[in-house]
Amino acid sequence: MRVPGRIYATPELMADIRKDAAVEQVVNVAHLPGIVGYSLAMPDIHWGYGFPIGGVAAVDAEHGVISPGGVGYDINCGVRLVSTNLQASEIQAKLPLLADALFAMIPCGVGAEGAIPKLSRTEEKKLATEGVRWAIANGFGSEADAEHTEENGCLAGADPAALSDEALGRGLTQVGTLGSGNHFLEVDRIEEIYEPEIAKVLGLSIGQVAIIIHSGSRGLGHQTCEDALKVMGKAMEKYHIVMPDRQLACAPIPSPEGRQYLAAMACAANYAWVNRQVMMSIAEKAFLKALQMSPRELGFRLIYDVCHNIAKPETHEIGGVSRNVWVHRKGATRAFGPGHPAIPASVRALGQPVLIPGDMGRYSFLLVGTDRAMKETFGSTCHGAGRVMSRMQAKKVGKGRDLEEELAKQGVIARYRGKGTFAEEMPYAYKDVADVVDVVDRAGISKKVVKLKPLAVIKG
Amino acid sequence: MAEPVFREIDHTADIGIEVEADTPGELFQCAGLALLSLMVQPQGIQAREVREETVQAEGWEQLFHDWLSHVLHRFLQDGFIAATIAVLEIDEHHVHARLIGEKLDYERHEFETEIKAVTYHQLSVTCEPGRCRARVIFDV
Repeated sequence: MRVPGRIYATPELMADIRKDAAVEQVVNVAHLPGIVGYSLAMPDIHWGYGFPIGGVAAVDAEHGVISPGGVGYDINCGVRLVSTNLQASEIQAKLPLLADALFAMIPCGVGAEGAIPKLSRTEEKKLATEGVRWAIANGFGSEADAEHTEENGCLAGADPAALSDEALGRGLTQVGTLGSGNHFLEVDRIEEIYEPEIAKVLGLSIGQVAIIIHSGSRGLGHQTCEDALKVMGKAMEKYHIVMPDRQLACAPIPSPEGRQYLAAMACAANYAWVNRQVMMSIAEKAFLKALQMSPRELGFRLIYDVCHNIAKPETHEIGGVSRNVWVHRKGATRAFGPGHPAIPASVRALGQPVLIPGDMGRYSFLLVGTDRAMKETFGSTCHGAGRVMSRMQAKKVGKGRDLEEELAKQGVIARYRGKGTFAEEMPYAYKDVADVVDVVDRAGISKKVVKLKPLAVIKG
Repeated sequence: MAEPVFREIDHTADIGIEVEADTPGELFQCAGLALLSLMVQPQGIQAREVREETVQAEGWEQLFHDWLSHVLHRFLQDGFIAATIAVLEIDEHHVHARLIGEKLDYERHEFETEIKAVTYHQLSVTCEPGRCRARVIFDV
């Protein structure tokens, strides 16, 4: 180990964390050449592949390595929170209709495609270079959306020439599609407010309807990770790097292999932002159609969009010295403190908005980043509830039960494509996200602002 | 000869399988069908389309990884799901197989979940005469 590991958790969460190989993976990550500070893990940490899910690692920008496994297959998997002018009580009766419209209009499940016409390769390359600006220029959303997206929805350094033909091919038809697994689109009601002043600035109040979208870069991102792992698996020998797990394959940041991956990763990140932006725009149309109202009455407004599978070049103070690093966040969210220039001006004084989705039955949280996160975690926090039950176990537990009815009893309407996915994603398969969020709140690495309760969920 | 068998590995976030077979051909065939069965219930998949696929790589481990990735991509990109797989040729550097099946139809098939990728995490493949084993974890 080149640095120590540090896990944020309570004794109760730690008992769950110790049940699988997640702690061993924190140790493995600490072997990355150039890693600085700590190999960090957030309270939603669980066993991933290579990196633990919930892992954060900063590496020196000059002497460190970049690890595609530290970003994950779903590059820039992330979440956005959208607010509306609606009150939950006003739409209660029309919720089934709304859920139907969202499910019909947003392609989900395997091979989902056709949300927008098939792209030409030239257009896809433009999209991958420009990110959210491409979506806005093509009629999906407004300029304000870009301002309220991490990196303004465009990660610098994107070069489509770094993408393989296969990656480009897989991306042609998937813009605006949800995918499967833990991805979802949810209609929520704001249930509780912990920081009234911050909520007020964000324009959020109790009873208001909000939407959460969780998805990533689809096949283009998956292929980009796969391509890079192959290249880096071979390059490790050349650079005399030995890692305890092949999934942690990496290459020096300034090397040709490292640079190529970063250029491709930025393209995939941009693709993911466009994907969520387009889905938000389609969701708006579904709302307008189902509720028969004008865009002004509906008032769709992006609060913020965060990525939780990414590597970013950032400057952090480490041991009193300002250093340029690349921060890998694998199932972890950026949580920059108040005043940071990367935060949109309108909310800069509050700290960066951070969205932590929970399971589909209980609740999700909006938090803000803190100064303490800047000091302790390279401005990072948790990303979700974290699984407590394997997919296999969850399916066994769900056998013979009417899961849709169980969710309905919790006040959640569900529309889904895959029965298996639905069973695997049931609330009992996850930790209580409130426990996870309480840890980061008490540790001071982010601050709870709002709790949201799901009303309707769309899953692949 | 024993029938090739696979077991699911109880991984928290993702899905893994362990496969055992007498020959490399059976190992690859069984793993391919196992991967597909995690995504779609095998019952009711009809023999409507025949595809021949070749995958090349260096060494059993990489070949096994790339073979499964290939089967996965055919499914993710074209929705093609095999009911049977016959490995026609195989050595440490290539596999040539015939896949018979059809495209996923949500009306007729029971879709379980989407697998995003075949990972290298704890990947192991050993092929000895009369005994082949593999362990692989998929990203869900």
